[in-house]
Amino acid sequence: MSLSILIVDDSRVSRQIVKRALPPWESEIREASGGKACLKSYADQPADIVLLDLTMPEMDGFETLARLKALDPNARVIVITADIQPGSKERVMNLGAVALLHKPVNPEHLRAAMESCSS
Amino acid sequence: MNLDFGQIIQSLNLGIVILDRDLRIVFWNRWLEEHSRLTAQKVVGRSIIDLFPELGKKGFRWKSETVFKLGNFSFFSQQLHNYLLPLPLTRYLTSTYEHMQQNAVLSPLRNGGGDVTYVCVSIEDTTDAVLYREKLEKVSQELETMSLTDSLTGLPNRRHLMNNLEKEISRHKRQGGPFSVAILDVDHFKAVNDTHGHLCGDHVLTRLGDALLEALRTYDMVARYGGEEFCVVLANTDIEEGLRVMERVRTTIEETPFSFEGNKIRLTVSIGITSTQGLENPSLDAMLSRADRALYRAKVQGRNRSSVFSQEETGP
Amino acid sequence: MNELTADRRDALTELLNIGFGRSIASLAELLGIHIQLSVPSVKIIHPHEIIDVLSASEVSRDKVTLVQQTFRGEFNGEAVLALPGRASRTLASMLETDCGFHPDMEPDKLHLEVLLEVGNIVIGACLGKFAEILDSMLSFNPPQVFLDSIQLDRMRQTISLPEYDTLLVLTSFRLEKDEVTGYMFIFIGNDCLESLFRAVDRFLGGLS
Repeated sequence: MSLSILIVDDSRVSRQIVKRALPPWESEIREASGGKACLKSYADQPADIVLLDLTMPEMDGFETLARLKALDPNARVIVITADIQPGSKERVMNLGAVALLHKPVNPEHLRAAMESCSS
Repeated sequence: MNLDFGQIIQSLNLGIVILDRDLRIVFWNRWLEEHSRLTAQKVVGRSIIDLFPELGKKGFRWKSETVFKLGNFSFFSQQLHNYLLPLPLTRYLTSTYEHMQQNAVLSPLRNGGGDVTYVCVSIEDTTDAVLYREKLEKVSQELETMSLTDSLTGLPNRRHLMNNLEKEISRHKRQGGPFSVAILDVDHFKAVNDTHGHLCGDHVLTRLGDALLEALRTYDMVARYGGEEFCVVLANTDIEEGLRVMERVRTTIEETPFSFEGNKIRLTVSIGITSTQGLENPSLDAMLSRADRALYRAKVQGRNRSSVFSQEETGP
Repeated sequence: MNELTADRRDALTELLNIGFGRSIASLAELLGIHIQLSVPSVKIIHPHEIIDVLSASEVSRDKVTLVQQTFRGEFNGEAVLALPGRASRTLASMLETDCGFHPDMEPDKLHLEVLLEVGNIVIGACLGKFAEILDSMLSFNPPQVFLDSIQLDRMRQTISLPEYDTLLVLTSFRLEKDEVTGYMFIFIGNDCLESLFRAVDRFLGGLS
């Protein structure tokens, strides 16, 4: 069964980097370039895993995460960000993310985080 | 070609010491042996801070920690620290410094996995450059003393004024004809500095200098006489004319506010003026001290005015 | 070809974003505080806009301190950290009291040393990470305090901006404790743009 993945980041290059780091599982990949697009895409069709950036203009990752969880409390969100301070991690976990990974994302860490989503 | 890097490191005109995570010495090159008189054998394995306790007061631990943890380069500049390691200077005749002046750079050395496992400290002897810089500064200062221009305002300086006044006195003795000398002092200048800062004070003095140049006649000389004092030599001018000219200057200054960084500053000046009239044998000292006494009177009488030297003056 | 294509711009922005995130985290860790990375963090602007950008920001209300550091490697350039006067004083006291960085120095020398140290760490961490992702290496010259506590309009008179096109990147960060914003500018000269773009293209090539 194919895994549906939603990659959310305002940078096209960044989305590409994440795509490249994904484990070679069968998956259907969607992209969104901002918080609003992410919520719309998820509302239309929920994804199994959301890979979310924090620093985005207009609606940042924190807000997007909160709204996503409000929309679907079971949403599985992995945050991938350049902001690697411990305070950010705490905040993100409190909002219900599964994990926080640092950019540039390590494929091993990404795989492990994605595996933990199914449990 | 096979390069013997060991030999290269030992031949560099640079001190190289390599430290492990505990800041223990793992390598000490020949330059350091020669300058410190400590052989590598004696120092390898020892903590560099134990060997040179002064390092504890230079923030060495902190800086090397950032190199290990963050992988950046770190620097000790001679201008802020003078030296990293206290090494004696082999200049018995040519320098008064006790220690070699140094710049030092800490660089990260990584292992295969990319972790920083050693810090490489390279030490450069900059004593020559420092001595040269000091010499330049000394020469520059001497030049300034010999010059005839006040560096802040661009006006003739005191030395220039004295030269000029001497000439004027000689001319007067030869040809006759009066001339006047006025000393002008900014009222409450200290308050300007205290309220608006020294940069403002400097700016005010410069602008005042400009204003004086504009207000006076082309054959007058205005010089910076002291911190907030200016001296004017009014050639071919008797006391009445002199007073008229200086009063005009005074009122112009009073009426034109100075501006600095958006602030408007009102200034007044006190002026003491004297002339050769009534002086048997005018001299530099006599004229300046008379003008000075008159200035003092102007201040005492309330400032923002011109006062003419009067023979009746006695006492404080 | 020295053109700043959309892809190159995006890559540079993203990579410097990552680099900058790393340097701010380093600084925050050293100081024991949280620093907010503001959004958008990275812009590529023309050198002449530098004063306008600063004027429009908080930095203009205060005096500004500039710390510069030259770097060299696959491409050479100059990084400049602009800190509002307040921030530099705050950083100084933080480093000294909370972090055990208290060398025995006269106050004005210590002040300079702190500025240099912060500049060195922020610039070094950001560009170091940036180069690392590009599979490249950079070395650094000692940092210099270029201008300490100068009013913005004075800066216009003091700085000579290059006439030719130079790539300039700008990032900003915010010390939450003090609510002040600092900026980092990175200049890369015309002669090095080719090498920089080559490195970026190499990185982009590895993606597709």
